[in-house]
This record gives sequence, C-alpha cells and structure tokens, in this order.
Amino acid sequence: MEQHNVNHTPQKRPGIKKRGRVGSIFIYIVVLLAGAITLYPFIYVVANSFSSPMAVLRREVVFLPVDFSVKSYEILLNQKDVWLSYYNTIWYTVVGTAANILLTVLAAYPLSVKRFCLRRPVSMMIVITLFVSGGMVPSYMVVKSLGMLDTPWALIFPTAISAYNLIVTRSFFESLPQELMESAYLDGANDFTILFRIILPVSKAILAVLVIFYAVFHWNEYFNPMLYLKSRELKPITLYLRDILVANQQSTVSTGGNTSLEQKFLFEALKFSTIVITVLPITVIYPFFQKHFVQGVMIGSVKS
Amino acid sequence: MTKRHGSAFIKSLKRDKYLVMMVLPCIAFFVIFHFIPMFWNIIAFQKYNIRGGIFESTWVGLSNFERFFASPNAARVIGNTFIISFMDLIMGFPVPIIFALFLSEIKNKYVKRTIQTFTYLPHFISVVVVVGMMKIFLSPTDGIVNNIITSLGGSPIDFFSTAGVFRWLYVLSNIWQNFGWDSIIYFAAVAGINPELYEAAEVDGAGRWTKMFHISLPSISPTIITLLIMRIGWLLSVGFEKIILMYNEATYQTADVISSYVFRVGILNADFSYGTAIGLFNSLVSIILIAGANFISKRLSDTSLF
Amino acid sequence: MKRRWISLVLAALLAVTASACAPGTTDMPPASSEISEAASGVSSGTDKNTDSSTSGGALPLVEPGSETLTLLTYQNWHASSYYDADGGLPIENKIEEITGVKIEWECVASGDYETVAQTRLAAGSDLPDIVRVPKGAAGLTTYSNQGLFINIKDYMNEQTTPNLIKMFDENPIYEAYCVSPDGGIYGLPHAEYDINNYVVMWNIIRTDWLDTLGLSMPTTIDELHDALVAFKTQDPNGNGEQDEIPLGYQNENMFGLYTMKHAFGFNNTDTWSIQDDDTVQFDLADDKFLSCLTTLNKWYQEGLLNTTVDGSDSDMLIAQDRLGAQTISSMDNVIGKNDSVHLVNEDGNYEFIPLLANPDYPDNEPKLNKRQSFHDYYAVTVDCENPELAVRWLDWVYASEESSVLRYWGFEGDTYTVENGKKQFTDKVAKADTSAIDVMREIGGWPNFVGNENGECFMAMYVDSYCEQAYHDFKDVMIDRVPISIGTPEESETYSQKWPEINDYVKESVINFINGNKPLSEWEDYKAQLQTMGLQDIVAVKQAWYDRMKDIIV
Repeated sequence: MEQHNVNHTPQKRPGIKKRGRVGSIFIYIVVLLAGAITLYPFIYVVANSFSSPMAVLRREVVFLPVDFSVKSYEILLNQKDVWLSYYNTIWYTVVGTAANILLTVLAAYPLSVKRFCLRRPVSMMIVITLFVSGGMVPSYMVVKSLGMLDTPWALIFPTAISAYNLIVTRSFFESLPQELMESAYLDGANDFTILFRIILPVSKAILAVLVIFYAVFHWNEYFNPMLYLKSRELKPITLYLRDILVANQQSTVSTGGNTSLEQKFLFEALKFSTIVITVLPITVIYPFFQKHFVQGVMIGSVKS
Repeated sequence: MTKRHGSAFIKSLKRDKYLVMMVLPCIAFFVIFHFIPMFWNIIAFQKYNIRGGIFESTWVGLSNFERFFASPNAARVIGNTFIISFMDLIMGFPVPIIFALFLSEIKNKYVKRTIQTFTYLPHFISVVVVVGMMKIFLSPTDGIVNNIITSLGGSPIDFFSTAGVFRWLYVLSNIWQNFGWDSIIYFAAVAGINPELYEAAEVDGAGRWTKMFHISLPSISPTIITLLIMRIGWLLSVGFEKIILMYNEATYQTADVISSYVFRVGILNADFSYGTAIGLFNSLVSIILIAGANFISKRLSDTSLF
Repeated sequence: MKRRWISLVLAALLAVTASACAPGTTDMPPASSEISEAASGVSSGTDKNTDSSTSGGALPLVEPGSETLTLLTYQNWHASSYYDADGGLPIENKIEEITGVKIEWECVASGDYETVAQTRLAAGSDLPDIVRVPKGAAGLTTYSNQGLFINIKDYMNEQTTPNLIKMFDENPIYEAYCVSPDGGIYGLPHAEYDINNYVVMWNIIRTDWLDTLGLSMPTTIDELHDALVAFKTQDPNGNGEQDEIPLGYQNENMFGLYTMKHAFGFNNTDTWSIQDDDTVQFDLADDKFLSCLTTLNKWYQEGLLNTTVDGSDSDMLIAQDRLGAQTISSMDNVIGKNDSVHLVNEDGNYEFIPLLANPDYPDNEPKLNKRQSFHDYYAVTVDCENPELAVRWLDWVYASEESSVLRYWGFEGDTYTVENGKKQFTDKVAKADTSAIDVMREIGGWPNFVGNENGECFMAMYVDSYCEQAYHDFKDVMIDRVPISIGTPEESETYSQKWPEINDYVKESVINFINGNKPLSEWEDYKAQLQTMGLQDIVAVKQAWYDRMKDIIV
C-alpha cells in the first residue's frame, strides 16, 4: 500500500478548539443517525411480531408492541414441519459452509504461490465466471444429469466455491510473509503440510470472513432450493416460510377463494414473525465472529 | 509452443504436483458448474428445440439479437441499467468512505463498536426481507414515512408506483443495506495509516477536516480505486431479484433493467433463445467494461485487478 | 504422523455423520390430524355409491400400490395442509385408495410456479408424468408443439375414458377448450366453468355509508361519483377525521378501474369484447375509453381514488373502516370483507354496485363478464411410462361424478349430508370459525390440481348469505369472456411474442393516465404505439380463436 506524502502547511487558525467541538458534534450526529436508521427498521419489525394480529393489520405499531401477544409466533412455530425445515437449514448451512471453506482454502493457496505454473490460467478462468454465466436452465440441467436433483447435495456442490471469495482469500494468502513458507519449504515440508500446519493457523481472520460470507449465503438461500428440491422433507426454512406466505396471500385475493378473517390477520402478522425468525439466528451468531472478522476483512482487502 | 517450452511446463507440473492436486477440485468445480452451463449461450444463435436440445435446434444466426435491438424495450432496458448503475455508483460509492472517515473520528470505543454493529445488520438480511420491509414503511396509506408527510401537511406518495421515484428508492435502499458493510474495508484501511502522518500535520496546524481530506483520503486511495474498478465491471449487473421484487407496471419505464427483462421474457415467457441472447449481450459488455477500467487504472495508478 | 491419521479419521467420521443426518434421511413420524382419522373411519364404512355407467372403467384402475404417477402442480392453498405432507391429506388419500394409483407429489408455491415449471420443462427430459402447464393456453401450444406432451385423444374411447366422453357430450364447451387446431387434445383445462355461472365478481360499495349519508345505491356513473365525494367529505365512518378512501382496488390493482368502461358505451366489463357484427375488439384502444380515463383522472385529482397502485392495503383499509368502495371483488370475498368490517363497525356492509348507466350513452346495456373459465392445462408428458394409466387417472379424477362429489363435497356424514335428495354441508364446514372453503382445503378438498369446480357446491357454502342475493341480481346479465383458445403454432408464437409486452404497456399506460403521470393528450400516441407493437396482429389471432369457438360458447 503506497503512502502519499503530504506537504501541507496550513495557517494556524484562531479558536481552533471551538471549531473542533462543532465538528465533533456534527460527526457524532451523523454517525448516530446512521446507527439509528439501520437499527430502527429492526425494532419496528420485532415490535410488530410481538403485537396482536389485529393491531398489526391496523398498522398501530410504531416502536413498541401494541397488545402484546405471541400469537403470530405461536401459529408459526406450531405449523407442522417448521422444526424440520429449521433443521434442514441448519444442516445446509453447517455442511455447506464447511465444504465451502475447505474447497476455497484448498484452491486459494496454490493460486497464491507465485511460482505455480497454473496460476495465470486458472485465475483467468475464475475471473471469467464472474461475468459470464449460462443461467438457470443449463445449471438445472447439469445438476439433473449429475443425479443431484432432489437431494441435499444439490445445495452443497453447485455452490461449493464462490469466485469472489476465492479471490479475496488468495489475496490474503499473498499478503502473508513469504519467509514463513520459504523456511518450511527448506525444512522439507510439502505443500499440504504448509497449508494446514503453517498457513491456516495464522489465517483465523480470513477464515472468520469466509464463515460469515458463506454461512449467511446458505442461510438466506431461496432460489436454488426452489429449483432443485422437490420433496418436502428437504426444503429449508426459507421455502417453508414462502409457502405459508403465498398460501395466505393467495387465499385473500383468489377468486372462489377464502373469506376467512383469521386468514387475513394471519397474513399480516406472519409477515413480521417470519422476518424475525429468518434474521434472528444470524444476528445472534455474528457478534461471536465479529472480532476476527473485522481483522480479516482489514487485512484481506487492503492487500487485494 | 516449442518442445522445450512444453517439457519445461511438464517439469513444473511435476515440481508443483501437490499444488496441482489441491487446485484440481476447484478446476473441476468451475468446469462442471460454470463452464459447461456456459455452452448454453449457444442457443442465443438458435431457435431452441426443447426435446432436441442444442444439437437439434435450428440455427438462426443473429436474428435473436436483431429482435432485441428492434424492440422498443431495448433502448429502455439498456438505458435503465446504465442509469441505475451510475446512480448507484455515484451516490453509493462515496457513502461508505465518508462514513468510515467519520467513524474513525469517534474516540469512544464502545460507541464505535455498537454503531458499527448496527450498520452491518442490514447486510445480513435477504433482499426479499428488505423489500418487504420497504413496502411496509413506505405504504401510501399507512406507512410511517407517509404518516410523517401527511402530518406535515403534504399528500401521500406512492413510492413504489411513481416511475420518477423508483431509481432513487432502489439506490437509497442499496445504500441503506450496504454502507455499513462496505465501510469496513475503508475503516480498516484508515486504521492502518501511519499515525506519524497525522502528528506531522497537526504540528503544521492542520484541523480535523484537513487531516481527513488531505491525509486519510489520499492514503486509502489504492483501496478505493481497486473497489471502484470492480464496481465499474459490475455496472451492467443490476441485480434482478431486487428489481423484480420492487417493480410493477407503473414503474417499468424506469425500473426495467436488462436482467429483469431477461427473466420476464426469457424464463417466464419460455422464450429461451431470446432471453439468452440478451443475457449474452449483457455479459459481453460487462467484460469490455471491466477490461477497460482495469486497463485505464493500470496506466494511471499501478493498481489493477489482473 | 499419528496426528495426521487421527485427523483424517476424524474428518471421515464427520463426513459420514453429516451424510447420515442429511435432510431426507431422518424419519419423521407421519402427521396425524383429527379430520384425517375421522375421515378414514367414516369412509371405510361408507358404501361406494357408484353404478357402473357413471364410474365407467373398472376401479381400482390398477392393483393398489403397484403404480405411481408423478404430478407437478401448485401447492395447496392452505397454510398448514400440504398435498405432499407426511401421511397425505384425507381426500387425496381417498383418491389413491379408489384409483389404486399412488401419487408422487411435486408441489410448488403458486407464486413461484412459473419459474420452476418453465425450468423443468425447458430441461426437456425426466419430466413428471402429469404437469400443470404454465402460461395457460400459450404454454400448452408452445410445449405441445415441441413434442413434450402426449395426445390424450389417442387414448380416448369408451373403455379408457368413459367419463371424459360423457362430459364432452353434455358440455361441448369443454371439448372446445381442449382441442388444438390440429385436432389433438394435449391437455385438460383447470375448469372453473360451472362455478362461474354463479360467482359474481364485480365492484362493491359500503351500503351502510350510503344509508348514513342519506344516499341511495348509485345507478348511474355520476351518482357513483357523488357518492364517492360524499364518502370523502362527509365522514361516514364518524370518527371526525377525513380518513376515508372512497374507491380502492385489489385484484388487478389500479388497472382494475378499467371496469368502469361499462358506463361509457361499451357492452361489457372486460378488456376485450365482441361487437354486434361478431368482430373482436380490444376496448382499451377504443376512443370511448378515453372518456372513461378522463373521468377517472378527474376522480383521481379530486382525491377519490386510492393512491396505492398495487392495492395491497385494501384489506387493511377495510379493517380500519376506511374503504368506501372497491373494484373487482368476488362474491365470497365480500362476505369476508364484511366480517372484517364488523369487528370495528357492526353495521359495516359491502354489496355489489349495479351496472351503471350513463345518460351520454342512453341505449347502452352492458353485460357483466364472468371470470375466466378455463385456464392452465394439465398434460401428460412423453416421459410418462404408462400414459394410458395417466389418462385413465385423469379421466376419473377430472370427469367422474364420484370424484366431483369427493373433491368438492367431501365425505358423506362428515362434511356433507343428503336431505331430500339435496346435498348440504354439515356445521363442521358451514359454521366453522374459518370459511367453508378453508375447512375443505384443509382436508385436501377444492384442490389446486385437475380442478373442475362445481357451482352448486359452491353456492351450498353460502346458504342464506348475501351470495344468494347477488347471484339473483346478476344472473341474467352475466356473459362469458372472449375466449383464449389454444392456437396454431403461428398464432401462438405471435401471441406469446407480442402480447406480454402489449399487456404490460397497456397496464402501465392506463395506470399512468389515471394518476396523471401520463397526460391524456398522449392518447393518440398511446394508440399509435400499440399499433407499432402489433396490436392488430393480436386482434387477428383472437378473432381466429373466437371464430373457431363461437358456435359453441354462449
């Protein structure tokens, strides 16, 4: 990272301390505002999810729950199969992320070694995939011909490596001091040993980054499960919740459809509790990774 | 490739044999799940026959492309894609930088960490949820925003159905969702600046703002430029999922972008060859853009992607 | 060295465990529900009330459990009862029992159906046995031309499909909607034909507000206008605030206001119409429509229209006692809206607005269009290993009397009883907390697949309700829509290539004309643009379709 030399001699200004305070207040306000506008929508959603369906439909909830009730959660969590879907999502996230990290790291290391003969061609190949793709239909056909359709593996293999994450990881490895690897090499270690015994232990930061990126991806994944999974037992919670929301919505406007009042209220209230259920786990887990994560992004990107 | 060159290559393969083993799964992955599907793009030049597949479909040359460019929608979707991307770039790109600079000024660690955490949150939620939340807040009859507007004496605005407003909505919500996350990189870069620079400037009498814009900003410019290049490369990739969730007939005129059009026409309408042709066009332009941006950057500042 | 082996073994163990507990491998206990147990208890005791002439071909169709058919279709419209649930739903289980054919479900939420189905069909191989074809008639033509579906006609005869043959005899309109120009039958349509003779779907208004304000039900377009102004300014909901929204919409969102065209010299309420000389016309490009738009635009400026284009807040406004009128509500939904209002205002009551007159067009007597009767087709794909079985299954499920009773009335003694030869629903269905249809859907009734909806059954859900009165008020003025028929490959290509964009453009323009974003002075440009986009080609196609069917439809 190059540093620019600044040759600057401003005049000394009178009352500089006073200016500083106004500036500080301004900065504080901006920053606090930023925090507030990002936090408020969540407060709104959570408050609505804990309000009675009637209050939700009438849009009476602004900041605190109105007519506190856990009815929408009750309904949601009492649906059949909701726990099964949750389990599925967790499985996809854990196994998927593990596979992602293994494969990404395994590929990033060789690409970070400058003398590697395949480095240029493979890097080229990866960058191309960032911009050109075949689309939904051919991807579906590939997954089908591999026999993965309607199996859990359809959500693991086709998304096993993200080109973007691969590039970031490669950069990170490149930024590590070369001496580390040189000396191990001289001691007769082979590349596998170097990767697992030397590189990974000092790469906690980038590993945290990868975990967060991939885990969030799997957790929110919706399109691929919709396309590749047919059986109910395999579906993750995102699809499950979508089924509920569509069923409710359809029944309020479909012709020859439903007239149920309860259904209408349900729909409004469910919107909020489903949001909370999908977002909650991530917000709970994230703080644990935060420390390493910030460090990792710092190093990984500054050098890229 | 001379014989000597070839055997040198094989020699280095042998020397790096473990590295090759490591990278093999990755190569296999990209070939199977990315390059093979890429062949599908051939149907852009065909009239696709479903049962026959690629091998039995008739060739129609460039007629799919001609059809696209002749359609009144072509100008509109291409225009919207560029406009929305530019807006996203110009408005969205500086915000994380400025936020990072500001946040770095805060001395209180506790406040800093907490605010940072709040600002990351939106990034983790899926776009479906974000749009759902937007619709709730911006509802003309009872969204909070319109409640404020009406209590101040104005009349309610139907944000999602006013064509002129759509692009702002899209871009501003992108900023909301991503500025915190994107600012991490810049924040980290600022934290890595040599403190001596600041000390020297202070001795010279520099105030806070001078320090910010004359030291911090220039110091992180390599990071900024790298990310800028990548953003430019993505100019044509306005994400279709969010557009599709947000648009409706009243806003097609300003909201319909290449990717949403391809989805609607190519997939939903089963007009596969046509949709693929448009998508191919999109990819080609993206490649040109990023190659161009990279080239310019290499010339101007030594920073480049590849 | 040892450490490395241990970690390898550990990794292998982890991998095996991960696979072992993968989704799909855990055994969940089959879901049980009160109704399903009761139903199976009741059904085993019930006589199969069939005589060979109605149920036709021998039942069960095959040795029970020996054959399976895969079916790709919408998921049930019930938030907690799924067709593919463990243990299945009672009515579908009964179908399996009677036909002997096991169904392997592939259900997709209706909102996502098109994307998923199009992708599956595009892949061209390993198709499900029976599929709900996306995109209706256009989809059927596209895919049948690509050779994806079998010709059901090849299998139609007295032995294999007695029920279908009988149905076509009694109601030639079914056949008219099934047959492709080349004479083949590639799909059976989801039929809301019979039921549409009863279901009124029209604009509604708060009659109690009219009473409060001393107004009578509007009979002309101007009277409606005045009523809407009164709603806005005279605070009919009595809360001291001017928060009433006089006219809103839901189905078809703001575009749905086009229905007002009936008061501007048009002979019907839909976007297409048949003129006196038997020609098909696209009414929204007719200059009389400009008068309609001008009026609506004026109403918009006067603040009489809801400004939320997608009408998604309609339910909320109703629940808040703020919505005065709404376009296009189906009559069973009116009941629901009334229930909704009653929670805040006991007197709240919506009823249909009559077809409005207009002194500017004194001789015009418009008719109310029924809902689209046939849409979305069910086809048997060429990948089906036993197409004859699939056709026989469809024959029984779609067209037999016994199936109709099972799927729409349910189980005798449990959900319906027969008194004096007339069927009626039991209290469990008719007087449930939720609606009758909801109760039926929970056990798999009124299904989303291979539908053939029964009108008499529908009305039986609304005995002694406003629906009966609505039916009487409107039955003499209801007519069919201009048909969307299965076309020749050329017609279908023209239609599917040009119509979607034209449709989008029309909706966009109408909405923007009404809310003023597009000045009415651009009317001629709008018409010209439609010509450029090929509207006349679409009209020609619809004319061809109409000519083919006009002798059969009423």
